[in-house]
Amino acid sequence: MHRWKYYRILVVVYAAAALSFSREFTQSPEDLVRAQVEASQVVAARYPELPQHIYNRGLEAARNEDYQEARRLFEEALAAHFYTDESFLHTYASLLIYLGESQEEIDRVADLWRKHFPHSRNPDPRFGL
Amino acid sequence: MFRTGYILNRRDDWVWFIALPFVAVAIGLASQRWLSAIAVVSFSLLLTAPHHFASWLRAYGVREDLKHWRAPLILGPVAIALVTLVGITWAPMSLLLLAWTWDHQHSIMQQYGFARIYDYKAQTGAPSTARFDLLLNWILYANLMIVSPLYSDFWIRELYRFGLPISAVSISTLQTVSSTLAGLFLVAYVIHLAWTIRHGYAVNPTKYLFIGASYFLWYATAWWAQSALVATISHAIMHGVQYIVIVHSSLRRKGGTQKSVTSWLVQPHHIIAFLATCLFYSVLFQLITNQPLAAFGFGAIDFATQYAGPIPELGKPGYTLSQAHELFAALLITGAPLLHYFVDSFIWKVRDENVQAGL
Repeated sequence: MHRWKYYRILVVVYAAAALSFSREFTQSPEDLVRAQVEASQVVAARYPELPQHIYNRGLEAARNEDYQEARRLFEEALAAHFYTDESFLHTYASLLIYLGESQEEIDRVADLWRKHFPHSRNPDPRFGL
Repeated sequence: MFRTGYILNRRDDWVWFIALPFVAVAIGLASQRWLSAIAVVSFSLLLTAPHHFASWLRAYGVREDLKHWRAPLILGPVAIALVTLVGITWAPMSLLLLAWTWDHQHSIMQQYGFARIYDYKAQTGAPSTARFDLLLNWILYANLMIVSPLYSDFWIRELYRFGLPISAVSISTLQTVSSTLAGLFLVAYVIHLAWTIRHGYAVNPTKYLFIGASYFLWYATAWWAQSALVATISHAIMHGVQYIVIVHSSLRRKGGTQKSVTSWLVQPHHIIAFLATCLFYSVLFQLITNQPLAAFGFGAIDFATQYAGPIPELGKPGYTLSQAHELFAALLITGAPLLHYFVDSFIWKVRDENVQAGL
């Protein structure tokens, strides 16, 4: 094997890094946020059934003060075992508290949040936000 | 027509290279169902970090190999450290993209490499087989990235970040084209296989079982998964375990006569020491990076939830992580001397024959 072949992959990595790093370095935060928002919209349009997007629709409903619809969508995401997004479980538990649901219902979701994110620095919603 | 060959031997290949991906998927699904999301970190600590250690051992642990690859083994870390530092400082998202892309390329090449070993060991395949296997791996994997809901999110976001917007309809069209091309290539691959046999070259059926099992894992988890959890855990198990197995086997075969720590560590009867060293590396890594050791416990061992259950009526918020650590530290500080008192109460009794033997 020729010696330069050992470094071939590093050359590719450096070239890709130079391209990508320079793009990110010159991109304004506003452009980056706009790109992410647009990308989220198109991904959600392509995969509306994914739990992440069901959760996002629930958040939108909550922003529009349609809390029952938000709860329905959150429950749908929860039924799909969507446990990897801390904000989802924390927000859902907070919503249940806000809606004055039974302690049993609140504990069901808040305990899931504690179980899956034991190292979270967020306060327990049951103790006040 | 068929000539079977194995990377290790018949039994071990069936366990580590053919059955393992199916077991890994089952473990991934079970983890999603019953374990905490922190299980991803636990699997990473128990498999991914040790497989890095195995890599260091393979690259830096054999004197003759170290001499053979001296320059890349010295320059490589410097070059990687430099690009990582620049990325962390000025372009963290791009560094993530770079790591993500290289990780996938690395996964493709590992499975391709195992396929090559199968042909090498069985002396099978035509001269063109290697190229077809490489294309098969790249095309199947690229199709997985393009088509699966789990992975497409990532590249769509990157396209937008690079100012290359794509509509939902275009994504759908691209995915259909990708699937069609992958299907056509599979047909071409089978035709090439038939051509290989017709021209008198033997084929190794175990290689195809191995490739099938690997892609079963990647494709199944990319569609079943509600999140990255199942795919990440299953992949970590397959990739990490197979890598550790091949390193252990390779070093054992290579360094049987050498007197070195590495060759001692990979002796069959030192397997516990080998695994313990891998684990020690993980623990050390976790400590150096100032991460909690509780992450090893799949979420089952956790200080903050051990005494969970805030009682709002009493104004009790439950243990915070630092309070729970303090409790654990107090348990160790007080408990260790108590255990010392207990064992000393019987391990020094002179009337005991076992004790007399050591005096």
